[in-house]
Amino acid sequence: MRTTRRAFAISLCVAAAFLAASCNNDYAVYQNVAKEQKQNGQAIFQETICKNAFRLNSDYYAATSKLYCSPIHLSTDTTANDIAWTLVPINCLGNLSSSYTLRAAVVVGGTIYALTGNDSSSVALSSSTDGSTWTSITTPSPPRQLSSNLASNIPSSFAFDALYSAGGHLYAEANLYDTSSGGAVGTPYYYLYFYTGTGWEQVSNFQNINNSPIRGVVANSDTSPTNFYFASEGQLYSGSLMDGSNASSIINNFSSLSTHEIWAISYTGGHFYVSTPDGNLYQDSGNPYQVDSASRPLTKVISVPYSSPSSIILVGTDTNNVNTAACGYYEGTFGSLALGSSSQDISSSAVYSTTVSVFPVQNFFYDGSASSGNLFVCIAPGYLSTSYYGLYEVSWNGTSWSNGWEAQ
Amino acid sequence: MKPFGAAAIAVALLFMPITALSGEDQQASKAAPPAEAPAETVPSDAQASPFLPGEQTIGLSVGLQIPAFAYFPTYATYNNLSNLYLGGSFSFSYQYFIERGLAIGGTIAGSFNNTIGGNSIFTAPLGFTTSYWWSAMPLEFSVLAEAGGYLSRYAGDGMLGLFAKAGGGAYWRIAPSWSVGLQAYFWFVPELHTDPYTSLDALAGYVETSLGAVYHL
Repeated sequence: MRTTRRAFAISLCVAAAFLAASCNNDYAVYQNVAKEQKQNGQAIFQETICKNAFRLNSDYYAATSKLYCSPIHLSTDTTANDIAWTLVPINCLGNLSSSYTLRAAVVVGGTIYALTGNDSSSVALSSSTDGSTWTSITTPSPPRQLSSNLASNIPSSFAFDALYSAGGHLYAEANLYDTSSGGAVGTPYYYLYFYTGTGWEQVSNFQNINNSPIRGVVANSDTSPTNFYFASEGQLYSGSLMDGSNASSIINNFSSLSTHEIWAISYTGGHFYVSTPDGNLYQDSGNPYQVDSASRPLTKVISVPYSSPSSIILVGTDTNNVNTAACGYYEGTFGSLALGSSSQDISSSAVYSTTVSVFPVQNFFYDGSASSGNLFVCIAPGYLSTSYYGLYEVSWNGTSWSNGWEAQ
Repeated sequence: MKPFGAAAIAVALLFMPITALSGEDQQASKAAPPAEAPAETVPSDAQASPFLPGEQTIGLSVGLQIPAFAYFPTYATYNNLSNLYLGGSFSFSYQYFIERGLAIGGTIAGSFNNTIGGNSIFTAPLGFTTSYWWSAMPLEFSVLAEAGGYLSRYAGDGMLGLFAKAGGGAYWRIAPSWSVGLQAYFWFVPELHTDPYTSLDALAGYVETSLGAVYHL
């Protein structure tokens, strides 16, 4: 009997702790309910991951498993939901087609590069300067230095996995799996290439990344860059040349970064940022470089206009095995970031709660200046509800942000 | 704000009589040999249970949850909760008669309403009830008041609070042990925050209309 009572008491304590932990004193349930807005996005973005968004000429482009485009529009435009995002046919494996799977798409200068495939072994890279006419680009052969180590079934051309746009240049990540030593998966090898306009070259001096996935390439300017940053999961290099020939490791510039996994890198608002899956955000300012800690894995960083201060940063969050809680983004200034449900939301808290707050942020894209612009957030909305979309927009008019994220 | 003790007692109250009843039934079955059971008929007014002290009931219900209003004291504004769709509710209750027609007990319930933004709000109250029953066979009527606490979830965030409910029901005695009928209750769901977040306070109300079944022990 005593044991039973003790078990009952322990159960009550556990239940009480669980209930207390689930209570958010700073969250207004009914105020947020009252502020909710119905989202009228398009079916193409329902429950669909949007990887990134960008602008070419007078159109916005969004990359899901397809590439879509839409004329430039404000989120506050009353006809915004009537402006259809239309599927962009791409020259995939020799034919202009809509039945492709988009692996990646970026814009570099005035050119879109799209990596497409119709199955895992057939991948094509195409470019377009207007979104309608596409030109195929040959991908490089496997690197010579590894050919003797790899199995005999090396493909004749590389299968790119990701594209990066940095400093007005196109970069591509490729990998091969060496199964010659046994095992179903084999040993992965990762490579970072840059496009010369006519061919591909490996980024040199970006060393010791053979078994470390590439996390990104960024530069401090799109038009006249003086610094390029190359990141893999465990390495961080920087140099002034786009080919990486004078790049050197800077991972020790960031306090304790060398002991953490790199999740994403960003250059925005005049600062270089490194985010990690354990919730640290490093900024290249101060001595030593500063770190801000969050409770969630962090992804991309973007600096956007604001009333006071004149700019703030948004930091996307992700989920992992440790933290499977709601995602969303942090907002504020470096060192005083707050999760999006705070009062300093870029859009009203309720709309944030019913759009971006629950899901991992894949990317941000801001098109505009300090006086006006449109901000897109690309998320992975999962399949919980058709009310969630992969792409949302909010607009800036020079003094304030439009009231709430609008599903696209 | 966090009636854990009350919750524990209520849960205990809910399940204690079931256990007691089970014991009584076992003893009764041992004491008396099985006899040919008389055909069950719905009792007349005179034969019906007049809800005497010691009697017990278990109730189940399922129904609609109608959002009524939210009042925000800080801003002195009302909202008609039109952002909430019509939802559903369910409950499980136990009552023990302490006086003729007067019963006390407990209820555990749940309700959910989807929102226009694709979220849902779930509220699970647990409370003590006081009710008064009377009959005009084959009809039975009750009025009930409940006080307790609730746990709610909305868009991944949780809230604990006090809870109150009032209303009643009309039932048809379809069998000696069973009554079914319609119920209507008003749910008062205050969302109260401690400093420095008292500006987030809200007083919300719902109307539950449900189909109920009562088992007379």
